[in-house]
Amino acid sequence: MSGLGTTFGRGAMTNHFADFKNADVVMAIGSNNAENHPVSMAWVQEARAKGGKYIVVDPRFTRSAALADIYAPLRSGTDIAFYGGLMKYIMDNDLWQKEYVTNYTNASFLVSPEYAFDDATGLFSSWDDAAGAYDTKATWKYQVAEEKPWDTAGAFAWAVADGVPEFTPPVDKVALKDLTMQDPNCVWQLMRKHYERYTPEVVSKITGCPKEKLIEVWATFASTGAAEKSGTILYAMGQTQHTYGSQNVRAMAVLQLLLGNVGIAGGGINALRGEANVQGSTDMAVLSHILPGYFAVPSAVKHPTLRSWLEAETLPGGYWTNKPKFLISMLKEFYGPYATLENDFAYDMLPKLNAINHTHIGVFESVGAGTVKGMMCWGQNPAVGGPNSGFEREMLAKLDWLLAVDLWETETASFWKAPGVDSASIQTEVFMLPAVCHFEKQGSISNSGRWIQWRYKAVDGPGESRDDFEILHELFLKLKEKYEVEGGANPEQITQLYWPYETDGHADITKVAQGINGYTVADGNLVKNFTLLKADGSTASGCWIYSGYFNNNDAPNDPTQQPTGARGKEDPGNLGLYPNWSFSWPVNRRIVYNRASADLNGKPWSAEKMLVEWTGTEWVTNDVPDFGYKVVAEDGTVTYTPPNNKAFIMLPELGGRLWGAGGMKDGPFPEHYEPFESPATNLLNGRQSNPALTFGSAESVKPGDPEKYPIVCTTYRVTEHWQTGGMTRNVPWLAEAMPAMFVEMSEELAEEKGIANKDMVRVFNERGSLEMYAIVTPRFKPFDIDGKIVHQVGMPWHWGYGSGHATGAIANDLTPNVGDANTSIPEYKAYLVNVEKV
Amino acid sequence: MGVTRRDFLRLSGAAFMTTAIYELTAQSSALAVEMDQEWKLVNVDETSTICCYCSGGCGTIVSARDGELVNIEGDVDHPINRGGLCSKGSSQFGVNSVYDDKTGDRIINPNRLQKPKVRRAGATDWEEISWEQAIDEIAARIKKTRDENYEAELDGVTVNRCEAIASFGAAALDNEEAYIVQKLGRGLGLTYIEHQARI
Amino acid sequence: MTENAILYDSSKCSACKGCQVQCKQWNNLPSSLGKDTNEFTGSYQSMADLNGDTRLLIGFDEKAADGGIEWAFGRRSCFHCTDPTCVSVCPSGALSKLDDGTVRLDSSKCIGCKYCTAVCPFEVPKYRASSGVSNKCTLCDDRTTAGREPACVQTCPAAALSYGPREDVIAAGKVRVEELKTAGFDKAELYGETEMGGMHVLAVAKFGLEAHGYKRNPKAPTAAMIFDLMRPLTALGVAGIAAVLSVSFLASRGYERPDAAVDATKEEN
Repeated sequence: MSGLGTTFGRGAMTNHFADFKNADVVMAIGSNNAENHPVSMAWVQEARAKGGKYIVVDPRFTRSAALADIYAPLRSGTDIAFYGGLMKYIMDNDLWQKEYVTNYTNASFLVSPEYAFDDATGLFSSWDDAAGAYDTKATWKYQVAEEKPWDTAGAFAWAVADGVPEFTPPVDKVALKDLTMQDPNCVWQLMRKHYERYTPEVVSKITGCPKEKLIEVWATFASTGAAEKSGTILYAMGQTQHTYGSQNVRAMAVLQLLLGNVGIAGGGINALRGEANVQGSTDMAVLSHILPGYFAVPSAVKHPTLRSWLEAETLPGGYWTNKPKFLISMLKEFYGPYATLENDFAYDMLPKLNAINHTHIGVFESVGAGTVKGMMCWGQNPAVGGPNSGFEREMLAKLDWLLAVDLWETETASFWKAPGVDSASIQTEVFMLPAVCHFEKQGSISNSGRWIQWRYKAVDGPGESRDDFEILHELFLKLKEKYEVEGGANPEQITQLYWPYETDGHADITKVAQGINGYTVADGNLVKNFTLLKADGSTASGCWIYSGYFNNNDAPNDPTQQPTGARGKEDPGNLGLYPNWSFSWPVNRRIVYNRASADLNGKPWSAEKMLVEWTGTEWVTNDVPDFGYKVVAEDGTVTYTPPNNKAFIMLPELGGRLWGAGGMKDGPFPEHYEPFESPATNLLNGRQSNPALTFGSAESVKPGDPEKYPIVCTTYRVTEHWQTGGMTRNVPWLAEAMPAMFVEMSEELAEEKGIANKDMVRVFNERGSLEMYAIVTPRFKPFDIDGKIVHQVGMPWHWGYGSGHATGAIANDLTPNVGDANTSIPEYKAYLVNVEKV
Repeated sequence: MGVTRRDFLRLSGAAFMTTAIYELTAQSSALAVEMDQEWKLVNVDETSTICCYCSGGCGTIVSARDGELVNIEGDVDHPINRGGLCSKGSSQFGVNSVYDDKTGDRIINPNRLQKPKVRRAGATDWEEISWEQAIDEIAARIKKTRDENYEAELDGVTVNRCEAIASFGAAALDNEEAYIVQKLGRGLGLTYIEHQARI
Repeated sequence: MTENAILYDSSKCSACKGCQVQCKQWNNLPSSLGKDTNEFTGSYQSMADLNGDTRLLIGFDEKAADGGIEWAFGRRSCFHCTDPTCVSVCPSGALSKLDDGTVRLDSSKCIGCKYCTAVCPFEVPKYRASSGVSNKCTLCDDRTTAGREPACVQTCPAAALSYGPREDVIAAGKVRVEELKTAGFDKAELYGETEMGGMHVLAVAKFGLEAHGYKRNPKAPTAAMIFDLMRPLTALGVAGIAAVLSVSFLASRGYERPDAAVDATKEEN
C-alpha cells in the first residue's frame, strides 16, 4: 500500500477485474491469481482470446502457471532484482513511453545533490545508524524552483473561512525541472544510474531464473511500452509479505510508469487483496496508523494539537490540500454535536500514538512486555494467521481476557486447548460470541477493484448467533451506561461518541452507511459526494472516500435505491467499466489516474480503450475523470478545463513518482536486499538485508542459521481453502476437496532427503517443528543461485487444530515475525527451514 | 429484494451458446419430461449477496424458502463473475447448512457457534452464558482494563489513550461494521487497532 | 430435437473445483461430517475417485516434459453416451436416455442393483450406500429444462465449461484443438465426438487423452462379459439377465476392461 501511495497517491488497486480483458500482457507476479482469485481467470482468458499474453512469475509452477503463455521461476524474495533488471532492460533498449514519462512523472525533476546511494554499503544517504532508520527529510528532496503559498483570497479561501479551525497553510515548494532530462541530478538520470548494476547476468544469479527466460519475460512485458498497448500486473501477498514488501510494490509501480501503463484500460497495478473485505476494512482504517480515508492517526510528538495536525498533514498541492475538510467532517461523524470549533472538533478525544510500533507484530511484543492485557478479535484468528504463531499463542496465555467473535471455535478462541498446552495453568478468561455469516445480515463490502457492493440478508443466523454490528452496538450501549453510572477514566471519550445508529430502538446498519457517506449537519441530508464536505463543522462524513456510495435522500434506508445497490449493466465503450453497477470509490471512478490514458493534448493513446478524450472544446468520457476537467459556476455554467499534465492529482507534484521521496522509509528507489533469513549473499550491494526492516532484533524471532536451515520456505494458499481455514475446514465439501496439510518439494530435494510422495515429513526451524504430508513434484525445481543449488519448499497455511473437518499443522509456527520497513507486514514469503522424513 | 434474471447464459460464451437459449426455451415435447421431483427453486425468495472469500466480489444469489436455505449459486447478471463461482464460492451454502452424510437431510452446519460461551481462568472447558451476561462481563473487563491503564496526558500533551487493549479484525466484516470496530476502539482510546491487511 | 452437450476445455480450466463443489451443492450431496476422514491422495486431486456422494471430480496429473511441466486437469463424470450400456442393462427403468442426449437417472426407480456400475466402460455410476441407489451426473436435466445451464457449467469461473447444441460443441472443440496445436500443444485432441457412439460431454485434452485420464477407444462390454459382470451382483434371476442380453447393439462390440472385475462383497459408497 505505501508503495502505491508513494508512487501514485493512492494505495488501492488502480483498475478492476473486468478490466483485465483489455490488457495486451498480463503479468502475475507475487500472485497466484488462478488459484486465489479464480474469477480473475475469466478476464485473463478473455485477454488471451484476443491475442494477449499471460506471464506467471512464481517460485513454484502453480495452477496459474499451468495456464500461462510464459512461466518464469524466481527464488522467493528476489523480486526487486527482477524488476530492477526489467527497468534497466527497458531503459537500455529505449522501450519506455517517452511522452508519458516526460509529462506525467517526476522524471524531469531535479533532486538535491546531497541525495545518494552507495552500493558498497547498500545505504541511501541520511542513514542514522544509532536510530536504525533513515532521516527521510534530510537529503531525499527536490531542488526548489519557487515557493508558492496558498491563495487564501482565491482558490483556498475556504481555509480561512468562518468556522474553520486556524492553521497556517503549507507552502508548495515547486521543484526545479529539466525537461531535457540530461541534468545528472534529474530523476531520470539518477534512475538510469541506480539500475545500471541490475544486469541480466546478476539478476539471473540472484533470482535463479535462467537469463534467457528473464529476457523472454522482460521483452514480452516491455512491449507494452508502446503507447497504444496495455500491460497489467496482478500481485498479492507474494509481493507485500517481505521485509521490503512495500518496495516490491513500488518497483512494480515505477515499472508501470515507465511503460505508460498506469491510468489506462488494461493496465495498472492490481493488488488482488486476500479477503473479501480487506480493501474495505483498510479504507475504514481498522489499522493503528490511519484514520478512515487514509490520513494519519495523531501522534503525541508530531500532532499534539489539531492545528499541528492540519499543518503537518495537509499537503501543499494536489487534492490532499482538502484534507482539513475530510478530517473535520470525520470528527463531526465521530463526536457529533460534542465536536465544536471551540473544542477543536473533539480532536483531543482521538487517542495519540507514542513511538512504539503498534502493528500486528508489535501487539504481541507488547503483550510480552506486559502493556497489552486484553484483546478483542472480530473474525480474526492470529493463533493460526500471525507470524511465528506459536509465539503468538504463548502471548495469548499472558492476557487477562480475550474476546473472540466468530462463526466457529477458532484456534485463537481455543488456544488454551491447543495440543500440548496445560489448560489449567492458563489464567486468561476467554469469551466466545457466535456471529452470523455474510448472508445472515446486511451491509456493504468492497472488492479489490474498489467496488462497494451491498449484501442483503437471506436467512437468520443459527441459534442465538448475532451480527457483529449488533454485538458492537450492545457493547457500546453497555459501556456507555457503565461510564455514565460509574464514571472512570475520561468518560466523555466514550459517552460523547456520536451513535445515531438505531431505528425504532433497534440497531440499524443503514444509519452507519449514512454516517460514512456523509451529510450536512444542519438538516441531515446526505451529501452527494466529498466535493461538498467542509472544514467548518457543517458537514459530517465518516470516511470521505466513500462519500457518494449511499447518497440518495429519497430512500435513505433502502440500499437497493442507493448507488451501492445499483445493478445497471450498461458498459460504455465496451471496456468492462459497468459504471451503473454498484459504486466504486472514489466518486465511482473505475480506473483511477485516467487522465494518463490520453496524451498531453487529451487524445487517447488507444482509440479502442478511450476512457477520456478532449475534443478541442470539451471532455468526452467513458469513465469518471480523475482530474480537474471542468469548473461548474454557481449558476450551473460548465467550463471545461483544457488538457494539462496534471495526471496524478493525489500527489503534490501532480505527476507519478519514479523517485519516491515522501512516503518510503527505506529509500526513494527500490533496491534489492536479501530476505531476513536467506541462504544467499546480496550480490548487488554491501548490505545483506533491508537496513530499515522492523522487529529484526526481537528476541522472539529466533533467526535461522543458513548452515542449519538451508532450504527456502514460503507459504501460500490453495483454491479450496481460505486464510486460517475457519471458513473452509468447517465446510465439509471443502474439507473433502483438500483434506490435509502438506509441504511441496522438488523431486531433487526429496531424493536427497529420502522422501517419497505422501510420506509424513517434519519441517522445522528454530521457531517450530511441524509434521505433514509431502507432495513431491516437478512443479518445484531447485534454483541455481550464483553457482550454488538452493532448494525451496512451500506450505499452505490453512490448517490448525481447531474445529472443522480437516485439521493439521499450523504453517505460521515457522514464519518469522519480522516486518517490512514501511508497513511492518511480516516476511511470510521467504524464510529458512529444514526438512526430514518422519 | 427481488432479482431480475435478464439472461440465462453467460455473456461471454461462444456463439453456439446463444443458440442454446432458443433450444432450451422451445420446450419441445421431448423436453417435457415428467419431473420426478419438484423444481428445486419453486417458491423461493432470492436475495443477492457477494461471496465472502476472496476479494473478487463475485455476485451470488441466495435462495431460501420459509426462512430456510435452499440453494446458493453465482449471479448470472453480475458483471464480474457472470454466474461463476469457484469451489469456495460454491460452498457458501455450507457456511450455514450442510447435508447429513447419513440421512441426506439439510441441517445447520454443526460447527457453527450458536451460544455465547466463556472459559474461566484455569478452566478446561467452556461454559454457556446468556448474551446479557456476556455483554455485561465483557464491558466490565474492558472498562476495568481501560480505567487501570489509561493515560490522559503525557509531557503536557493530551494523549487520551489506553494501550492495554488490542483490537483485531474486520476484513471478514462489512464496511459499516469495520467502521464501527475502529470508531468504538478509538472511542475507548485504543491504539492497538489492527486487522488482516497487516498480515 | 437438438442434442445438447457440455464442452470441457482443459486448456482453460484452472482446476478450481468450482464444478466439483457446485455439483454437490445443487444436488444436495453430502461430504463426510467426520473429522479428518478424507483420504489424502498425494496430489491436489481429492477424492481418489467418484463415489456415491460425488458425481464430478477434477483430476490432476502432472509430469515433467520438454521445456516445462505438463499439469493436466481432467473432468471426471458421466459422459452421457449415445450408446449407453448402463441404460440397456438397467432392469428398473431408472436409467433412461432423453432425446437431447442426456442419460437420466431417476433415483426413485433405482433398485440399487449396481449393474450400471458394472457395465460402464468408465465406471462412472457409483452406489450410494446412504440411500441404496446408484448416483451419477444427470446433466442437470432439471436445470436445463428450466432454462438454466447445468450447475457445473454455470459456476465455472474461467469459462472452461460450456453447454449448447452438440454440433456446435463439437465445432467449438475442434476449433480449440487447432488453436492449441498452433500454439505448440501438438498432442491436443478432442474427446467424445465418436466415442461410445458419440458422447454428450466432450473434452479438449490439451496434452492428449491419456494425460488427462481419458480412456482411448472405450468399448461397451459384450453380452457375455455383461453376463459375467452382473452375475455376482444380482438376485434378480435369469429373466433379468436375459433381457439384458437381448440388447442387440452390444453384441457386436469388443470389450477391453480386465480391470473392471467387480467385487460384490465390497460396497462402494
